[in-house]
Amino acid sequence: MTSGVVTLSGDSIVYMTLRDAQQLQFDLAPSATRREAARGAQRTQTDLVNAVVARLSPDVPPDEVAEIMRRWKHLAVLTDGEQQLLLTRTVIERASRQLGLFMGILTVVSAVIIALIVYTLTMDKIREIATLKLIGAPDKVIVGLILQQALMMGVFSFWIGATLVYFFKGWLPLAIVMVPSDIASLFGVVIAVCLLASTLGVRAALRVDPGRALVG
Amino acid sequence: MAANTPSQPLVEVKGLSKHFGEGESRVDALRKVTISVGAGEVVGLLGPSGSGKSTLLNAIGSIIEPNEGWMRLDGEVVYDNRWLRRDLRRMRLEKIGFIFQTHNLLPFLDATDNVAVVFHLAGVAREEAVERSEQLLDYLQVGHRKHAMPSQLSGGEAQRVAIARALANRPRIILADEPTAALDSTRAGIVMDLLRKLAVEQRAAVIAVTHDDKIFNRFDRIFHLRDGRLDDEGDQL
Repeated sequence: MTSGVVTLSGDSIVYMTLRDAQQLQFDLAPSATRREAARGAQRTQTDLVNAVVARLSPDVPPDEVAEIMRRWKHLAVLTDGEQQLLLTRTVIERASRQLGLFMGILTVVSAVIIALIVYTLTMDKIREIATLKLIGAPDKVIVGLILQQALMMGVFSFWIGATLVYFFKGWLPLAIVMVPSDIASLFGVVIAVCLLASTLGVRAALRVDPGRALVG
Repeated sequence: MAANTPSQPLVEVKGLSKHFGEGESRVDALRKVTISVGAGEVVGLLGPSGSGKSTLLNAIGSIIEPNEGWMRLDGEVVYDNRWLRRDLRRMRLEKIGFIFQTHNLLPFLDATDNVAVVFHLAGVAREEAVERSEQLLDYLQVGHRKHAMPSQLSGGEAQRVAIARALANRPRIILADEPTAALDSTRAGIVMDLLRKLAVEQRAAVIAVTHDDKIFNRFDRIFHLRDGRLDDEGDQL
């Protein structure tokens, strides 16, 4: 049941008995406490219960039970929903904001790199573009060629990236779950970035003078 | 497309002028140039560098816009002090075939596809485009190289593929910019014979800019340009 379970941030989890956990927490650390114990100071009571998980019968409303228990002294009560909300607001939301920031920066950097590549490839083909214009190719054909190039680059890169992650995810220090909907969204983002990045090349291509094909 | 009557020239240019820049930097590339070329004619445009040959070719090819004048191509008035057609590229596709000094074949397509690209642009289905391209390559005696990439073709073969591309849409006007410059005299003669054959068989007008004195005798008429002006009405050869 505990196999492969990780924390919200992807770190591994070790399951142990309460006694072992208390021993780790109170006997082995912190060092100041151990020094105090060595001096003969009275040890802190360790046979504490940290949390109790209660499973309710299906017909019992959890909010009502929690309300009753909150009236008891020195206890805090969290329902499943409240726990989820707490975790979402503290751990997941903060982590996703940080990851979102990195992803945003990486997306912008990728877009700039793709834009430069598409622009360079377009400038390399100025003569061919001029020839196509000269023999009567409409703008939509020229634009189509550049978009095709950018999209091929995006699809190929996505395929390589997704394949590498799929085969090497077990080697990474953090656990990675590849959810189909996330992969589809990422593919959409890649396509959008490629289309956006190709605008620089498209603009350059549309400005090409067909007369350049005649220059020897 | 307007119909062309037998008596009407395929290319008619009257009082065509073109200048670049304004004020002190103004350069008059063409000054009131008037020429006409009929079906089946092969004419040459000669002149020193900067005389306006290429500008005239570009203007007839609707690549640059003249400043004033009048121009009729294949029976349709396309310029009368302004372009009368908005879709100039479509007009080029329908009426004009271009042959370049360097063949300008698309390096990422084989010989067949370099020709077929014109059929695609004209809306011909892929299968038919390939079939017609191969027929054209056979006609120009380069069919045995139909699957070769441009880098694998010799200069003469590449130029013949380029001519096949120029002919793909059966244009009535063929504009050639130094078509033999990159060829030796034997191959230059072959290309000029080919242009002559096309002009006669397809009733097309061929206008070629050239410096190549070994092909001067292949033209029906030669127009001499100097400082943007025509020296004469076209020497009859």
